[in-house]
Amino acid sequence: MKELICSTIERNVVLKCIRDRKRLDCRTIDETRPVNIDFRSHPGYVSVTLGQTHVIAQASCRITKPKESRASEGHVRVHLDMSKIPLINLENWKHQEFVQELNGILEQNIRHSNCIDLESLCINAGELVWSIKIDLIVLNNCGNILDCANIATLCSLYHYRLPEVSVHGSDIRVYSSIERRPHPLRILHFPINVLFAFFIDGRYTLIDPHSDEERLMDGFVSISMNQHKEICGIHMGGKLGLKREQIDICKKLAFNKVLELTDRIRQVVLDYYKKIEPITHSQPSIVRIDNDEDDSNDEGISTTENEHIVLIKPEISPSLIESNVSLLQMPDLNRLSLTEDDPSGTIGNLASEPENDEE
Amino acid sequence: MTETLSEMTENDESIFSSLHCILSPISKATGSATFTLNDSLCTCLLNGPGELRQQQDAINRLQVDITFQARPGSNNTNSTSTKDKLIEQWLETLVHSTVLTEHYPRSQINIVIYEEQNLSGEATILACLCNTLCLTMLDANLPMKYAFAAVPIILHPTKGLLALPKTKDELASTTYFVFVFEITLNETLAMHASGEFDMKTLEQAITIAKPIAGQIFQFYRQELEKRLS
Repeated sequence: MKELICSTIERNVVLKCIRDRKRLDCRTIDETRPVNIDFRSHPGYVSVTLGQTHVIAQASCRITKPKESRASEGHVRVHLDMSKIPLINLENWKHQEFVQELNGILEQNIRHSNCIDLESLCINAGELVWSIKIDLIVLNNCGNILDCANIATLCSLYHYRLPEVSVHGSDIRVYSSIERRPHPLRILHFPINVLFAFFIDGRYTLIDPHSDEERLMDGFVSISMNQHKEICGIHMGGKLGLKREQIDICKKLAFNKVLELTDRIRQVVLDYYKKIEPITHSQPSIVRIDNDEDDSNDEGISTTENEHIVLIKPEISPSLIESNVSLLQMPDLNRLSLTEDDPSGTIGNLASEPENDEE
Repeated sequence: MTETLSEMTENDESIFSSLHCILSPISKATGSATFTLNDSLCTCLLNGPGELRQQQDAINRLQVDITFQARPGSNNTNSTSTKDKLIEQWLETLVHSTVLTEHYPRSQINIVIYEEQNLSGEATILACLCNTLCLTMLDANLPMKYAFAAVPIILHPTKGLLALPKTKDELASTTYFVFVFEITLNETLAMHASGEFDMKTLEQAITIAKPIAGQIFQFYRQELEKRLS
């Protein structure tokens, strides 16, 4: 599958508009498209749309051995998958190069900026740590995948809940979400990315380019900043030569966007958990299954009173956390126990149970 | 194991309350749809008909390429698991039987299905995938012989056969059926079953599922009308 070739007429029209400081979708040159953030019931799953560009992110965790040089730090990995969308620039290798470039920028933003407290991911120093992986899938490419993917990553990290672990001497126990409430990751700051596209030898700048504009740009500068005005990364791609003042203007523009988005991300995740909070954790450890024909079982998200059936809420289903914790790289399997928590005999779930994963 | 037929206390409105759909959420695809069935959510996109790759050989028919992407991170590697491959093949047979493949020789369509949310067991997600696929093909205006709809039915240990089960009931049962019906004669197009049951239960399940399929077809009509008006 390939994208459509950009015709000369299209190219001329778009460049002319840019010279007149106008854009095809009637935005100003420093206006970004509206961002829409949607969560699903699985913790860490978020679907973000920036205009029409659509990216989904899912966070998952694993217990692994830490690096020898950093014995008490966990790992964070980001993987961007653009294999299902039409090839950018019409050739597979150019597409792959593009994917790798974006992946590199995203990884650098998250890892090198220290936005997650890696030491909080440690379970047993030198032996076991959590390894978090964010899988990003691009569903629709309408320009500026980088910003969209970045927002998705941050939302997913903030939304994700890590299972509780307890260490007793040499025994380690991972609790399911029913026994102990999983806790959020420690995120120190939000490095938000803002992309600037440059045209015609770097003379004209646009923020958040649409796919038509992105195809014709000479190059881009992506500035990753947090709300404390700290720059977490600057990248320049394409064929560009810029002056220092241009970068300074970009930084100022970026800062305003960063403030808005940081508030927005925080707000959205907190709202989500506020909505499901009173229902999920009112009585977490009591499970009574009603025996008589009860047809008051609605979807369960908004209407469960305490005197009726207290359900294991479908939001965080029993085998959910287990299905995300894989045991493939477990150093010492016999010292670890995952709790048995299937009170209601599930149909073969996609959970990676210990028996299936032992190699 | 009880084999009682459950009372059909559901009326039209409650079926439609567990079904939601968004058509064309992905603008760059030829057709796409997001469909919700109770607690399961799927998105599907379709690109095509386009040109064939060199290695593929489909002289007088349409080549169908389906990829099913389960929730990322649910298994370790990035590759598809065997269960997911089975789902892909099952859906491919559905597409082959529905789409008029002779109309597009030497072309291919690419279908990608993402499972976004699955809180219940396999029955609901399978049915959700089928229905999403059908809506996507309708959205892409692919020439089809008929539309199809899938209905999940579970055999609950105490409550008997339940259609469009709620999450709580589905997690409590080990036997389930998924029937796919087509719209013209309401005949069974495909089915998938798992667990312990006998032929009598199977036939009862089909009888329960048929009227529900009719309602799902009505839902398709409503959604497409909304879009075209």
